[in-house]
Amino acid sequence: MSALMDDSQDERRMLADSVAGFAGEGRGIARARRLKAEAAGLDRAAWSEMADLGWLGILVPEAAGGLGLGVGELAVVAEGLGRDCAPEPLVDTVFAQAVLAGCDADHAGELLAATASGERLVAVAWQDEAQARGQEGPASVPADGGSGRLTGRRALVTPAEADVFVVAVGGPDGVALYAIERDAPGLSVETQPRVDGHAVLALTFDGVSLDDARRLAGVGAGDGALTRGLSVARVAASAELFGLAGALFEQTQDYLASRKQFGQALSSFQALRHRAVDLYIQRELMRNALRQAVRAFDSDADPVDLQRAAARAKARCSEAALIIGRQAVQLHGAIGYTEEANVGVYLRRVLSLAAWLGNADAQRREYARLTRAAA
Amino acid sequence: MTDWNAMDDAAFRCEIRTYLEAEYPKALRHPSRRLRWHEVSDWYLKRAEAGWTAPGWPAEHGGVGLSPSKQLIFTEEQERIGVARAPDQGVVMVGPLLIRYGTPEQREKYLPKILSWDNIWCQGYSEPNSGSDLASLRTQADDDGDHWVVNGQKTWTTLAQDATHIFLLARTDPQAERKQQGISFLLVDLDTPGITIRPIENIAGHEEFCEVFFDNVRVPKDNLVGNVNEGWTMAKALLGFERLFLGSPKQSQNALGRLDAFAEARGLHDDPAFSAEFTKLALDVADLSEAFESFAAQVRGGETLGADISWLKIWGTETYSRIAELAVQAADGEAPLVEGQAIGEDASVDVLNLYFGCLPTTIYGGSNEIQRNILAKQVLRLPE
Ligand SMILES: Cc1cc2nc3c(=O)[nH]c(=O)nc-3n(C[C@H](O)[C@H](O)[C@H](O)COP(=O)(O)OP(=O)(O)OC[C@H]3O[C@@H](n4cnc5c(N)ncnc54)[C@H](O)[C@@H]3O)c2cc1C
Repeated sequence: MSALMDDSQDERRMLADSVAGFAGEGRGIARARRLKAEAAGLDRAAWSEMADLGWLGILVPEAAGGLGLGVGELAVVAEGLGRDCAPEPLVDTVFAQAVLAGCDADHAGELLAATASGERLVAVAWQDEAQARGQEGPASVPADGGSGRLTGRRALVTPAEADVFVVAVGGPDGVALYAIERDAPGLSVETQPRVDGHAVLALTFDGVSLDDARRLAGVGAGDGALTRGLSVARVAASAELFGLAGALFEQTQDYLASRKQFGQALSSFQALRHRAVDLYIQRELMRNALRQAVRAFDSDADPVDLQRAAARAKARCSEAALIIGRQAVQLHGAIGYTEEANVGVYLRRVLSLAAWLGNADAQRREYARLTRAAA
Repeated sequence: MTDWNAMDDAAFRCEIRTYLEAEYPKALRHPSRRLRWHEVSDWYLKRAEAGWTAPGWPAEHGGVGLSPSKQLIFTEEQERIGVARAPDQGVVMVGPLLIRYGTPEQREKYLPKILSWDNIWCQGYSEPNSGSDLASLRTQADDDGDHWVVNGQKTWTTLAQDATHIFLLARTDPQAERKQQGISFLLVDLDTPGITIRPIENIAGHEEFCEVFFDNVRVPKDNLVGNVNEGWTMAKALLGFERLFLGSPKQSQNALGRLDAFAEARGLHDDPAFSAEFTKLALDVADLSEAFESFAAQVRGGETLGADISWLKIWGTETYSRIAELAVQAADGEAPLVEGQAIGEDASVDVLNLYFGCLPTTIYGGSNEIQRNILAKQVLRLPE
């Protein structure tokens, strides 16, 4: 089933089986529907089940209570959850964990352990609105101005249920990271609904104290941690998109074979056969872009190569999943445009993840920037 | 009474534009979804009082009797200002059907109530197993003396929940040689016992269309339109110049305007890559508009539109789709936000809405695949 395994990778195979078991018959999409219809937020039961299976600690060192596995294993789990349209914020959590793993303060490790057990939810707040819109580069996250207090905004923060934020605070020499509790004095939190039923947060900091007890990583370590976190999270999101698109493709293929018009299966019409093949090619491109990214992590490539590999995977997977999603609706006809059909639920998740941490265009710009800088 | 047709086109356009600008409620302009009857009824009832429900119907039947060219101008001006669509199947389909094929009794019974909006009609063509292949429809009407007894199911019936009546294509001769034969046109009061209407939620969370079930529904024989078993021919004949509006550039122009406002607010026009894509789409819309005008000129000249009009529907809806997809890319991380994207103090755009808006346009009105089949066969005459 997975893109990401060869025969030598038993661990990944076992994980894939375990995700398929967890997903079962459409449990994920049922939770996704509930999330959207009832704005139910995180399903705590499913989340603690995922914690028990170890997935919330997949990248977390065994010493901190995790499985201590790599990005390849993570991708297997993310793909499986994507196939099932499971709405749980695994990729968001992994982002925070990969950032925390690069932090040097002691309480970073404690926080990491608490996320692996599912006890705490952490979100990375790394960009303000202008940065999120690509209007400013990531290096210019507003500085604290030496005041030891943070005033400013952070946008598009997920998961919305987070009780701690890892906040990037920039200065001329780079980014430092701080852990700020959701109920910290001076922090206000605004919720914006997202199309998949989740919400994203807009944070406003009004003179929030940046004392040493809150510091997770100083300038230098902070940059490295954030960069690696983004690379890991982009690969994880790519894998989930690959799972979503794979399921969309297969549902569409099945529909073409079973739906009859003009006395024959839709799959007998050449125009639709060719369309299906074009979508298949998109899915294979995703598989390959994802594989090169996993390989880069498996071989412990240097950070810039990881960034490029992740941007490449995320660009491809974001674009291809949207192509497949749109065509899945089209080829289902009117039923594809209903809430009842699964394809719409998948498409809403694709729209959300394709835009998360930079969509296809943004990732191609990132790739070009890194490539030019390396040359 | 004003003779609108005698008026010069520019003066007529100016008159309509001034009227709409002054009278049409701002809050209802360019609505982001198909509005329900209770949301638009004030406006349409007001127009009904002024005698303007049916601009295209002949004056003798209570319409304004506008010539095709004046009707076109009227529709263009409505689209320009973004007038919300009414559940207008009575005006668009049933009226013209009865005027052409109905009995004097049917006209007398139904036309005034269409004009007053006492009756609201919905279109019962598609069925679960008959979408693109509409002629395969199975809803059956059996002869029972002075009634037809209808059994079956229609689906995707837009705004059936707001309608009082439905016009149906139903099978009256299951033995007919070809599937297009043996289909008849029936007018059905939705209050008749045996009818169940179930709204269907669409992908954007709106109840835009319905399923309609018929369980031994007794329809008086008087409600058959035209000759029995000739419904298909009549339905095809009704595809008059309405087909033109499936290819109208308005949705694309509106979407391009939204994208432009967004790009302006975010400074995207300074990005050469964005600017190149935006300009490409702007020219796609420009050539769409030119083509629309040229088809419109045929209508003005009294010609019937040929099958080539299908390419306009394809280009129009696919251009709209490309604009919506560029808007999704341009909005990047903000794209999936349900409340849209702020572009200044109290303005916003809603790229999700553009995106969900474009999705059904390539499916309904004859899907774009079906339009391509029509073009290949009837226009290019490519040998099979
Ligand atoms: C928003 C909306 C409103 C609607 N309102 C109404 C209404 O008020 N009344 C009404 O009667 N109907 C209505 N419809 C239904 C509409 O007419 C049908 O959706 C349309 O005819 C397509 O049929 P289908 O959905 O069954 O798709 P299908 O016919 O099952 O087609 C599925 C896919 O296969 C493709 N396909 C089918 N046959 C071929 C072929 N021969 N070659 C190549 N490709 C093919 C189609 O293009 C499509 O992509 C509405 C639909 C929508 C989406």
